[in-house]
Amino acid sequence: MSVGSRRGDRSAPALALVLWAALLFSPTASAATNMITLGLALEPPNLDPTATSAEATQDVVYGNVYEGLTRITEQGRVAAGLAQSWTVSDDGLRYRFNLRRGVHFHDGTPLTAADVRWSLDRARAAGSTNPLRELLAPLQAIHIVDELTVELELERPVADLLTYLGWGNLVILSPATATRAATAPVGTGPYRFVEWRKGDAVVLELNPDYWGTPARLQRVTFRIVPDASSALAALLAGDVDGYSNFPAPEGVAALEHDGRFTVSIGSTEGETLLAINNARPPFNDLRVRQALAYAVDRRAIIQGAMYGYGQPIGSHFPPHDPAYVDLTARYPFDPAAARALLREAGYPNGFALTLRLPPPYYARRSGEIIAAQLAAIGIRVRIENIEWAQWLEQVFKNRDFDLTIISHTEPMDYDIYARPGYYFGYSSPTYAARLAALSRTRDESSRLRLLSELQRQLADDCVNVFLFELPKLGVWRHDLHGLWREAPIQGIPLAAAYLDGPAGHAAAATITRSSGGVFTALALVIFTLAALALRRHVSARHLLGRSITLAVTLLGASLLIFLLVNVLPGDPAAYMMGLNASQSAVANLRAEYGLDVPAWQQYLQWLAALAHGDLGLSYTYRVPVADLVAQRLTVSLPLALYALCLSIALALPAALVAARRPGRALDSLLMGIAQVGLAVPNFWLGLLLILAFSVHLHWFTAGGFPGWQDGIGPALRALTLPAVSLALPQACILARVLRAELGLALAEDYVRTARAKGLSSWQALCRHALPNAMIPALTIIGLQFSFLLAGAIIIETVFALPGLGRLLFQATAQRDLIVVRGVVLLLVAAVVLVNFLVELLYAVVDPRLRDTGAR
Amino acid sequence: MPPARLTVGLKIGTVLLSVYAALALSSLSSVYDAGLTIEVGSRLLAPSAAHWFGTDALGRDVLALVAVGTRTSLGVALAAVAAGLLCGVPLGLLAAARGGLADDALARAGDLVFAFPSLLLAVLLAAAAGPGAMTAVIAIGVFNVPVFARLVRGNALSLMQRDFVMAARVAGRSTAAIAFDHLLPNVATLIVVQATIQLSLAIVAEAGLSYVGLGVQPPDPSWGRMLNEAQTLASSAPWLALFPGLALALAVLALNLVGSAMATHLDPRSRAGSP
Amino acid sequence: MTVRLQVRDLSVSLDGHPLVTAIELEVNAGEVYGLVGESGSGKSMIALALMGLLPAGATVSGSVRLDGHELLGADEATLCTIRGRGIGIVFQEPATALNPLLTIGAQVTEGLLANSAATPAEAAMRAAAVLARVGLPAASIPPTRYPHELSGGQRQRVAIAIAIAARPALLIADEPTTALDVTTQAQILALLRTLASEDGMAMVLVSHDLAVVAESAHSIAILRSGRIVEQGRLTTILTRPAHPYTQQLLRDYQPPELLPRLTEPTEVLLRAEDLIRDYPLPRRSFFGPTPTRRALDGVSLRIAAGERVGLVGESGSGKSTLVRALLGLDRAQSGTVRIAGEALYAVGAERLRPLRRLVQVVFQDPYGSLNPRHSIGRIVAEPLHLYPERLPRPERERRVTAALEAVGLGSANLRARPEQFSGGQRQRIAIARALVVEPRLLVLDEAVSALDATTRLQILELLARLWRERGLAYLFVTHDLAVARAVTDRLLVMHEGRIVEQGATARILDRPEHPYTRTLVAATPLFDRALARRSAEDSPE
Repeated sequence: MSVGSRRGDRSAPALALVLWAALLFSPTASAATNMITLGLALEPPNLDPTATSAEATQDVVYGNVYEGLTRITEQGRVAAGLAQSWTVSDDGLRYRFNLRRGVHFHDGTPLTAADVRWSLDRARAAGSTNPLRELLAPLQAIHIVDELTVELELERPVADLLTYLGWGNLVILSPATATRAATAPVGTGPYRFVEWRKGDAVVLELNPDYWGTPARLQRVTFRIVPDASSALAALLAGDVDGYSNFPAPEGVAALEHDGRFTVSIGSTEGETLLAINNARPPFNDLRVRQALAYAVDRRAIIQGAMYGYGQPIGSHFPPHDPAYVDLTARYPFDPAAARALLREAGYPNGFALTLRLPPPYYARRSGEIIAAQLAAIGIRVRIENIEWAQWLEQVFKNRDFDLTIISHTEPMDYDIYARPGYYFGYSSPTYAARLAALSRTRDESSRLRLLSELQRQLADDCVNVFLFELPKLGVWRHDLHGLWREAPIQGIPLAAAYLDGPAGHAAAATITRSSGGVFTALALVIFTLAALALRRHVSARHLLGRSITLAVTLLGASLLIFLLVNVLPGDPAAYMMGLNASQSAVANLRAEYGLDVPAWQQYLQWLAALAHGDLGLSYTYRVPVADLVAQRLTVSLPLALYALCLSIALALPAALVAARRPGRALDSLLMGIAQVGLAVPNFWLGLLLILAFSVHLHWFTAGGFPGWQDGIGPALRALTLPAVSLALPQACILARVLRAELGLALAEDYVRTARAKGLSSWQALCRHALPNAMIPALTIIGLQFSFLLAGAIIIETVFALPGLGRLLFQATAQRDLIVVRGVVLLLVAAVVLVNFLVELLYAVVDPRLRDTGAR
Repeated sequence: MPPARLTVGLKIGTVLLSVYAALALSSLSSVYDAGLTIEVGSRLLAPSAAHWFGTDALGRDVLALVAVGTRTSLGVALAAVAAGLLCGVPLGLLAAARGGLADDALARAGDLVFAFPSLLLAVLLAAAAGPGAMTAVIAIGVFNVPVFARLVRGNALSLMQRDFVMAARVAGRSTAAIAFDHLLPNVATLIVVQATIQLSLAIVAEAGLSYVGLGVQPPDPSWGRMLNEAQTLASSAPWLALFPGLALALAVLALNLVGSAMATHLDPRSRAGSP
Repeated sequence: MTVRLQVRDLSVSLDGHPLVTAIELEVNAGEVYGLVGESGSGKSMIALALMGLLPAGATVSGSVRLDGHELLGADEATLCTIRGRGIGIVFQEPATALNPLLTIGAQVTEGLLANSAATPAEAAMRAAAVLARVGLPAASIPPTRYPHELSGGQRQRVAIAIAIAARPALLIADEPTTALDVTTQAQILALLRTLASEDGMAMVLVSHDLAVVAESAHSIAILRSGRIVEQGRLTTILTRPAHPYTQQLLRDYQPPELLPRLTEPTEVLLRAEDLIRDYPLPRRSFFGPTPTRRALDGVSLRIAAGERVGLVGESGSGKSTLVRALLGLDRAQSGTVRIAGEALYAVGAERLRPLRRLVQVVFQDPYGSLNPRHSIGRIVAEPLHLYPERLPRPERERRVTAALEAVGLGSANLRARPEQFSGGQRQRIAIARALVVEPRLLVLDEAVSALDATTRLQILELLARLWRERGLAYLFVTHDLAVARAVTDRLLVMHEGRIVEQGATARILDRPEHPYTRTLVAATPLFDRALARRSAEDSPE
């Protein structure tokens, strides 16, 4: 029996065609000039710097979109910010700030003392997730003196208050727009927020109404290039104009000799440590810790892991600070001394330990070298590489570790050694007393003395093995100026950045208009195929039966996914809040995420929402998961289709030509090529293609995705190399399957019958063998489509494409469980749906599978 | 297919596989220990007489790394396929010989696993259990179970209709005896052929997982991890990307050649004479 | 009479091996020329050589002239015009000869369009007319049907329509009825004869079945190992064969004498009462009951000790289902089977073993019924599992050797694999396997259908000897009435799941009472009957 009327059957494909055309020829946006694109290694989890300590958030918005009462200069000094001037009472308990006149938020509202009070109150409120909430505890009251004057009243002196107020966590927001700060920040800075393409880029543009000297760049795009290898490729290919901190030190040497780039090596506030669990034996023995310190050769680590970049340190203090004391000679590299200390401590034959390494390159690489160096003094190191979320959970929160390697990038963070229960397991009343004294002391020379004592004590106690100060590897176009060399604070302030001459840049930053288009596109593919299938007789019974199977499979998959995702270790809330977050802030966030109810309730809630087409709200991005997925589909779906078309376009002619004369030279040659081709892993092929076509020939960009709004051309260009990498091995598989099936079909009697009718061998091949061979080939094509949609994960990594796979990786690493669940379920649904469509297509191709019930 | 080319393919494949076996075995001895020590002074040396494949960023010999990587890569792949075989074959036999509920349950479970695109489950498992060789074995192995179960079930079902199975039933043999005496020997060759194919897929999957950091972890070298590390240095030290990639591609090629030669040899359709 | 096909010194070899040597043929308009030979004698190769469709690697020499035009060595384009318009061909297997993805109308039309100037509409109209001519009128079987919607006979009619659509000068029918039931076979042969004579086509009929050729052909060539051993007028050759091979072929083809029954049957070995078995059909609506087809519809039968019972019927009549139900391989949903008085379905596994020892089976396909992975020693020994105790090894070997001796394979190596034996030997091994537990009833499920005439005769003689020596009872399932007449005392005729007639074999075959039996008997090509008729046709000339 046939479903639908004849009229409906005919009009469906026509309608689909019209909709396709509308989608493809939608208007495109124009490009602008005088703009730059900077690379970021990590994507900001959100854009509200007062709610997270994520460095990437500060990088984008600090000093650009948002400003604080004070600001920190490149040299690390406190300077006037939104407060033009201030006075401090002699007892250090009252700070009066005079705000600048004529400062406006980007939405046009003027800055007032009320905004300042509101922002600071919000940061220190009970449920606040601000990482500095506890540092603000001495803040007793905030008084509005007048429209532009505000006074802070403390219960005890906080010597570094002016510095804290210059940090990104305490920037001033407007009450009217603060709720949307996570996704659409509105500040007072020289740039205003334009858009955030999740997984790809954040775009800022010039704020013409800025209160100070206007910025000189029309537009700044922060592009997320997550892995080091793509970073170099993106730079060489001109996809990004520079990195404030280049994530691949191995590439810097080559760039220094490349006249196209300026390399500017500075220092950060990141003290890189071989952190020791002081509370756990044998590390509670000072001699063991000292042995570790003697055994480590900082020079070799800086050379091997950092390619020579980075300054050795002997304590927890940045070398560029005026109070820095060089203590690197306290424990020189001396394996003999290390062995002697170990013997003394009762470990003549060494012992075994575990070194847990978080993902950053400095940790993983230093870890390997340190393992080798410790092996030399008899310590057997088991390396365990873990995700950020696991690191936060196991090392930071539960203090379950022997050694780890981590860089502490917050400025002035020597207070962590006095925090009770901090993961080092170090506790020293002397240190705490010295720190408290420092907090009270405002006299510069006394402060220097105290800071020096702190440094010496940490070195003497050998709390950790202090390795090196993380370098800031600035790399940018030679005609780009005004970027900071040093990084005394988290952030990439671009107020003074400019380009030589009338610069224009190809990597145009633009606006994504709608994500709905993708769902329309997806719906259209399905609609078109279904319409085709239903034109011929596919019975309602068949459809119903298959739909039930489909639903059951999806339900089973959803349960499996939930179970797997729910047993993932790591707390998304802890991850979001970062290293310095307080327990209460994390608990608040857990409640906000709905993670405080039992798992089965979470599952049912998820299912109930799914029934309404709601995939939930992303933990990290705070936007609907469906929107995120839709955005990524604009890359993944066209890429999969592109690769599929390429695969078929290559395989079909090859198989036909080969099958035409079985066993001849051409057949052997083509199938031999296919045999070799299908052995080449697609990610290796991608690497080779980048080397050939991007690095050497400059025909294609090495990675990234410009979006569809500039027209189809640039987008297709960006997808071409990834599609080729994906398609070639798939084409080889398809060609071999098709060739084999054609071979079988050619041996069938009906081909002989066709030849006996007078058809030429080519006619018999195309009209009789091919359609029959297509039935098994359809299965392969269906499998390939789902593989290309979901299996492009690795290729997306190679080419830095903001597709579904990268979203999944990111979300997994960030413990954005709700996104992980959503994406995995979507991909599973896609596979099941494609299989369903393939089965419908069988019925289109093969009359034996059509329903004959009506006869 | 012309028999001549296949013989050549089989020869190439066998030779390559022997080379890999030799590499993997030799890496059990200490011949590569010198090459594996971190020697920051001699980093990123181009291929030369001293270092045939050059050295990596930590001054290790790439040839030694590739050799030891052979052991890890093949080891993980073999373990994963073996796990798939050991679980999948009995399940498939059971489903075919028993039928009914067991068969349905197996089919549905297989559907469920196949509904997860390759690597997706591996990503989830790696995230859940932590990355590592064992995770890779499980993640890849899980995919192999339904592959073998379906292969065995499908072929065993058609064998169940064959007269020799009928004769065995008339001879009073039990279901289990029929499964092991009659079904298993007749699907064994198919299983072996499929296992070579799965092995080549598993090698690629392992490399992919290691490439994105979910597979074998440092300091154990694996081809995929070497490729990942090579990516940044690809333009200045292309040998880092070239040799592990070649090792990977040739291993897959060798298995495919041997697999398809066996399949062709065993396929009655390709052995049939003239029409 | 005009000579349409003239073949001179035709030889074909494949990769250096000669397949066909020095063939000479001459076929006139309206004449049916029979090519007879056992499988592997090269008859199909001749058919393909005439079409120019030999497999890759084949070399051909000699001369093939169609209406005076030389075909060998003609270029591919010319051959394409010859195929279809000059020569049409009908192949053996209607199930695979048609493209399953195209409608039958399209497949006939395609041939008409391939080498003519006809418009698609004209071609479609002509195709419909041709289909109607071969007995598929559009009113009942529209051209929009797909092959899978037709029966085997209807599909073969479509294949014939494709072959004759362009009115070729020569029609080659390569085993056109081998895959069909006898009633259908008779209709298809009649159709071919009519078409050949109406259109004045020359026709080459290739068959292994002497009776089929005897019914249709005017002239005949006997092939052996790629050579024609004897050719000439049909009646001459079949009545006065000159070549020893032809003589042997005719002798083997004659059914053997029915041996006299030793004793009157007394003891009932097997008794089936009122067996019913339904098979589910694909569901039509998602809800509601599953439709079924009744394969056994109240079948009752009994077989006495030492009795030879034949079970005949066409494919789909329920024979196989009945056999499976009697062997306990498949349980009937109602009714009982008793072996030596014990109800087969009611007993447990332990009591089933002695019952199974009484009834053993030999299947049709000698290639599929022996596990290719096992040695013949192991294969023959397998039913010894039916004994409750495990026999000691020497005893097992003694029994296996004895069983193999009984079937004439006493010297066979017990470690050899089935692939080392010929089809006839394998069937002997299968019989030995059945005999090893000394059963009293042997079910022979089409046990000689896959064998050539000579081997078939040998196996029938073996079965007759075993019957004589051991007093075995047989249930002989076959579609071949000649075989049934030769070896059975009593006959059961099965049709649509029922036994429609039963009685003494000779009575049923000579004086069938049920209408279906009558049709069946009439449609069966019987060599003697055919020869008599053809001789009568010939004599007035």
